[in-house]
Amino acid sequence: MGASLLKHLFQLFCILVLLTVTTVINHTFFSTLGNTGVSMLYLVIVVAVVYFCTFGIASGTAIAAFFAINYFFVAPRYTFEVAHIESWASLISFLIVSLVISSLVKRLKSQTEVSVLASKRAEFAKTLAEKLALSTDLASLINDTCTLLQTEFSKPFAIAQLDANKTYQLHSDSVAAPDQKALLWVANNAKPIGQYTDNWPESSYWLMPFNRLPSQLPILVIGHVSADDSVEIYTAIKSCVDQISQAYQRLINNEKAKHAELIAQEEAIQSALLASISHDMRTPLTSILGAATTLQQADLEPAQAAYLTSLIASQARYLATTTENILSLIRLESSEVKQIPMDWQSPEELIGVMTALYKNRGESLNLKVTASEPELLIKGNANLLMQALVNLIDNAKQAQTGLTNLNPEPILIDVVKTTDSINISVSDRGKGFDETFTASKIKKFSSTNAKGFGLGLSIVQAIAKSHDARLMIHNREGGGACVTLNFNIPNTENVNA
Amino acid sequence: MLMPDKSLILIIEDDLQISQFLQSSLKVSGYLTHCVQTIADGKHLLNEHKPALIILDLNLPDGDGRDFIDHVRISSDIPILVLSARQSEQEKVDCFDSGADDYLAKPFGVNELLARVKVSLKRTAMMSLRDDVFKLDDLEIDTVNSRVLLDKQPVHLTPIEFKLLFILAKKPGKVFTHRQLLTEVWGAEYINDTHYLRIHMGRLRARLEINSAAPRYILTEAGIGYRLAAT
Repeated sequence: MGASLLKHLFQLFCILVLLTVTTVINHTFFSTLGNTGVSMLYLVIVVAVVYFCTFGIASGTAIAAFFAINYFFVAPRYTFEVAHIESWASLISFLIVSLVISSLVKRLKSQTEVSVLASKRAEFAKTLAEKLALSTDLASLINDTCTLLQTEFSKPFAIAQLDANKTYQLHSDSVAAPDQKALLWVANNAKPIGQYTDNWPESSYWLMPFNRLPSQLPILVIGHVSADDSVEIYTAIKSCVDQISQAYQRLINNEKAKHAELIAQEEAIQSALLASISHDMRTPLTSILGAATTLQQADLEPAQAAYLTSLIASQARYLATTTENILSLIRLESSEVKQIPMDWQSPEELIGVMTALYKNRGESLNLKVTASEPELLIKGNANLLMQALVNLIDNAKQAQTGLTNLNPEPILIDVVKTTDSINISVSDRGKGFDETFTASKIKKFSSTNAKGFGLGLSIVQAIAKSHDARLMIHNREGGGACVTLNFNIPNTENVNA
Repeated sequence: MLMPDKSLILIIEDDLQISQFLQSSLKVSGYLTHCVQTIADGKHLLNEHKPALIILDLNLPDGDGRDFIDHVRISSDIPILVLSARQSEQEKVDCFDSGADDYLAKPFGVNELLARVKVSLKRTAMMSLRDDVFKLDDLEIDTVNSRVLLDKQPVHLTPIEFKLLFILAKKPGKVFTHRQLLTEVWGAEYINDTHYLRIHMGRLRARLEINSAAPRYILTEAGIGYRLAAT
C-alpha cells in the first residue's frame, strides 16, 4: 500500500510539473500559439498522462488544464470568468475532446496490453506443447512442465499424485503440501479449488485436477495465490492443465502399450519355450524310453545292456540339467530375482564344488585353474554362480568334443582381479564363436547346437545380470572361445578380516 | 533304551516309486530298510526300532519333514539324510540348522545316495569307537592333542583354523552350516560375517589341499556350509 501511495504522489508531482511547464510555455508564446495552440499543448499533456496513469488521474488532469486555460488564456485573462460564448464552446470542447481521447487512449492501451499478453501466452503455450510432445517419461514430463510454469507465472508449481497408500504426495517440495481432504475433494469432484472458482475461493492455493471426471489422475497444485492474481492468470494456467493432462494421458497410454508389448514378447518366449521343450526334450526322452524298453526285452549281451543303462543315465542327467536351467531362467526373469540371497563367495571354492560335481557324475574334466591372487571374494548367490560355471564348462566341453587332437588342451578357468573388477573366464579350444556373434545377440532358445536349447549362454547372461555383472565373449588367439564374467569389485574394507 | 540296529535304514518317503527304488538299491547294498509314508508312521516306528540312519523326504502328506528332524533331535542323534526336490538354499540351511546331517537334491543318482549313506554310517561307527584321531589319506587330525599331520608332517595352523578344522572333524561327512561355524568359532554376533569364514577356510584349504580347485579334504556345500570328507 505504501509503495502504491508513493507512486501516485510521484505521478501527481510529475503532472503538476508538466502542467506548470506547459502553462509557462503557453504564457510566453501565447501571442504566437493562440487559443488553439495552447489547447493542443494541454491536450498532449492529458494524452501522455492517460498513457502512463489511470483514467481518473487523466480526467483530473483534463479538468485542471480546463481551468488553467480558462484562468490564464481566456478573456478576461487571470480570472475564471468567461466573456464570450465562443470561449465557453472552446473550453467545453477542449474538456470533452480531452476526456474522449483519454478514454480512447486508455482502451487502446489496455487492448495492446491484452494482445501483448496473449502473444506471450501463445508463445508459452507453444513452448509447453513442444516440451510435452518431447517428454518420453512421466517423471520428466512432471518436472519439466512444473519448471516451465514456475518461470512463466512466477509461482511455485507441483504435481500431487496418489501413492500406494492412497495418499496424495507432491512431486517436489517447492509448494507446501495442501490439506489431503482438499486434494481428495478435487479428485472426487473433478473441480478446481481456489480464487475465481466456486470452491474455496479464499484459499491460497489453486488445485486443478487433470481430468474433468472424478479420477485418480494427478492434481496441479499452485501455491502463493493472492488477490493480486488476475483471472487471466487463472484461465491461462487452467488451459495449461488441459494440455499437460493430455500429454500425461498419452504417456500413460504409451506405457500401457509398452507393457502390453512386453507381455506379448513374454508370451512369444513362453511359446518358444514350449516349442523347444516339445522338440528338444522328446529326443532324450525317446532315448531313455527306447533304452529302457529294450532292456526289458531279455537276451541282451551284457555289454549292450551296460551301454543302454549308461545311455539312460546320461540322457536323464541331461534332462535334469536342462530342466534346472529352464526353471532358473524363468525364476530369474520373474520378480523373484529381487529376492535372491547374495553373500560373499570364493570363486576358488565354487570351482572346487564344480569339480566335485563332475566327479560325482563320473564325467572327466580336464581343467586348469589359475587365480591372479588368493582369497578373492565376489558378492553373489552360490547356486546361481555354480550354475553359470557349470553351463560354461558344459559349453566348453561340448565345443571340444569331436576334436581329433590326441592331447587336447585343458579347459582354462582364470580368475583375475583388475583395479575395479574380478573376471572369471572360461576358455576352450573349440571352433569358437561365429565372427558376427556378440554377447548382445544371445537369445533364449536359439542355439546353433543341434542338441541344446541354446539355454547355456542365456542362463549365464541372466545370472550375470542378476549379479550386476557383465558377460563378455571373444575368440582366443590360436582358436577357441573365451567367455568372461566381469563382476564389479566388492567393497573390501571389511572383507579381509 | 533300544539298541541301534546297525543296518536298519528308516525311509520316510510318500512317493511310492522313489521309495521302491530306494529300498531296492539299499537292499542290494546290504542294508535293511523300513519304509513309511507319513511323519506319524515314522514317529511310531522310531519308538519300536532304533534305525542306524533315517532317509527323510520333506514334502510329506501329514506335514513338513523338518518337524520330524526336530522331533528326532530331542532324543537322538541318529544321522538324518534329507531328500528333497526343493532347491531353495534357505530351506537346505534350515534343515541343517535343525540337525540334518546331509541333504540330497532330487533328482540324484543312486551311487551318490549310497556314498552319502555309507559316510553317515561310518561316522556313527567312528563316533561309537570314541576315537579322537581322524585319518583320511594323508591327513591326520588329533583333536585331543591339537595336532594336524599332513603326509606325517605337522601342519602349522592358526587358532581359528584349528577350531574350524576340529569342528568339522567332530562329525566327518556332516555338513556344518555357515551359521553354525561362525557361531562356534567367532560367536553368535558374527553369523552374518561369512567373508571371515570364506577367507579362513580358503587359508585352511591352502595349507591342507594340493589342488584347491579339486579339494580332497575340506568340501564346500555351495551356499550352505562345509564338511570334512569322510571316505
